[in-house]
Amino acid sequence: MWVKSQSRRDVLKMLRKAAPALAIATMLTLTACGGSASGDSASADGVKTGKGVSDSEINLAILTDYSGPLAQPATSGSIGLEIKLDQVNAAGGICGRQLVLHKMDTKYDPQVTTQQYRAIANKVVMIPQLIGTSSLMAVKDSIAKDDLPTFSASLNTAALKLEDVAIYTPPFEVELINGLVWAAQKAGASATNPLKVAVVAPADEYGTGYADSVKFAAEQIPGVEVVASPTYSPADNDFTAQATELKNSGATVVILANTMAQTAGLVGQSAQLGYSPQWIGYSGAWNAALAKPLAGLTDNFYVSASYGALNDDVQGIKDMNAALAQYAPNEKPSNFQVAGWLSGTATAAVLEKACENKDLTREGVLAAMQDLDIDFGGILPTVNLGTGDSIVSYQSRMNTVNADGLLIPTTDWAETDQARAWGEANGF
Amino acid sequence: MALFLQLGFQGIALGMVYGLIALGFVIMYKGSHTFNFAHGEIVALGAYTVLALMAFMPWGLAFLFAVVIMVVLAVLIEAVFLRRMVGKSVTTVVLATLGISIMLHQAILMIWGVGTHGSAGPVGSGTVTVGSVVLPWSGIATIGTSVVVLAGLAYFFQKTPYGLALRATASHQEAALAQGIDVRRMFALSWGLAAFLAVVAGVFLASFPRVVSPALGIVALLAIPAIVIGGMDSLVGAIVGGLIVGLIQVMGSYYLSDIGGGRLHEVLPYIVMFAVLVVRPYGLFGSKSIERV
Repeated sequence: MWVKSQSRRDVLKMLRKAAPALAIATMLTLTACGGSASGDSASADGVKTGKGVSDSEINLAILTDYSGPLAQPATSGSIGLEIKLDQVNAAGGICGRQLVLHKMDTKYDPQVTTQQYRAIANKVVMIPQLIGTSSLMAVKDSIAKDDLPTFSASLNTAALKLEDVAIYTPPFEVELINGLVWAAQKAGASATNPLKVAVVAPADEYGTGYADSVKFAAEQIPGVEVVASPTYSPADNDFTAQATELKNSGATVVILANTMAQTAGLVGQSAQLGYSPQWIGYSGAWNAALAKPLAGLTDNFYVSASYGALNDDVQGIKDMNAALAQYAPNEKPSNFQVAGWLSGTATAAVLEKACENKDLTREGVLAAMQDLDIDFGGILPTVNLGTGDSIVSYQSRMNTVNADGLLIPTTDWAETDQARAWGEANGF
Repeated sequence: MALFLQLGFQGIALGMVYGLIALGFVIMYKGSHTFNFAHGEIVALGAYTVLALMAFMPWGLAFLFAVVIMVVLAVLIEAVFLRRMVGKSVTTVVLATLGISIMLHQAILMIWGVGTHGSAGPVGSGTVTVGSVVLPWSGIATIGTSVVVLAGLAYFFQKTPYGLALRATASHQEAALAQGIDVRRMFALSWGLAAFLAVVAGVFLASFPRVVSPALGIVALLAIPAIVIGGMDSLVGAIVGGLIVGLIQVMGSYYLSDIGGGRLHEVLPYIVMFAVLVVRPYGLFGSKSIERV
């Protein structure tokens, strides 16, 4: 009897020890198998569905910065996307299904992005917005492995080289180059009338890419010389060094490839040092909130943007403003909402095409993105997504900023030979 | 030479801000033996409060009211949360201050949102030129105000009964108790003083061309290398440490821009901090403590 009890005790002891491990193994197995929509199937309406799609819902995810250094523009971008999806849902959704957006805060941190991606990836069919190039790079392999269609909200060419990732507007590099060309033309730059230009960019590989694109274009324009290219780090609180270098270089045009977080410091401290060049920022370098601290200093500040502004008289902006009034009436208008609206428009177009093709699986969505024309209602010229690894358009336009910080267009949409040459030289 | 002086002036101005923040950390540490990780968010909240009040009153009044509000808040935090942790482990207290930091940050986001706002400093973008060196009024105000505040603090600690009592408490709590000093009041006083310094630092940290934003709290934590370099228990060390960090950042962003991909100056304060820890673990001006085991 004693021996039997001892054996039973041993077995129970062994089971108690093994239970946690067994429980964890079971959980991991269930997780790996995925949620309710783990495999492709055909729904009652004949549409092939897969992960993230049910008979009533199409699940999407936005991975953006709601509480980190880019929270202000990123939150505005999220609002733009949300109101577009609200508008689509109000019209009946897509394929009779409502679009459900899962909002994931990445804090602009690659590690947090990885965690958030893992938390949501199995539940959605597409990511309409993923912000942060570093964040994108942190999950690029997972995106490729999961075949998860993704629109990058960081509009640079680093995203174009990634599998299953696309951008739906011209990249930042095109905005910078077109801005430089415009400035050169405005100044009448030529071999006999040289123009000194500087470019400010972040001290990382993406900043190097931005600066290189400007330098490439400068070499294509007679008389234009890049005389300074100061860099900054995101932790910089003082820009005396950069402003001094710009001033000492004698540059009369400064191309800003920084984020809006640095624009006030660069422009403000340059003004304090008595240096007032023509500033040309790309769309990410400006936010309406900068109008207040830089009051009186933006007369010579221009924004080269690849998409329209809030006060454009086009159908797309009218639709956006109507949606904003209906679904987010308490939100202050921001041009980054336009960027978010564009991602929603592009996403809706892709999903509509996938619906037409009767295939709302991830593979179906990826197929729908191929060679898809997207009409943005005049916010920017119609683009074609191509194969997802090419630049969809080389057009941008120049804007000034008014007292409220809103962009006011000063040119029509145009592309430049220099931007195309740069694209071809880089294989796009 | 002009460039060196220009960068030096800006480095000193930024360093004074870090020094004031570091001083707040040190006063709280000496007074209540608490390293308060929420101090950065108190700096940010101070700047936000001044900016919010500026909509209704002149800057001077806004600053004074903000000081009152932040001192009351800091004293409440100390009384409600931290005083209950007397006797608890250092880890517990540190985690508590981290939790308070998160709460304050979220409160800022809930009240003011994620966006940036205007500048909270007393002066705008004006400058005065001395020789070939341009001195922004914001920098002059930062340095001038910091000197006045430091002089005031020195007088307070050396000549006033409360200052002497605070020093006695920082030196030896039990002995101070034995002398009839209300130690709990000293705890509150140290937090109140730190809150005052936080508001001063906050308005200059958000002076033109810098703006008030949720990131101010994280920026303020750049004062931590200053504390370690100067010495956790040294008031003079806090200021010297702050100046060292400010000068490294500004001078380094120019003279070291070609090294380390242009980001060496970002980590240099921490390299200096580790070097000081290796050579003088108690900091340049900190006191070496000997414990009987």
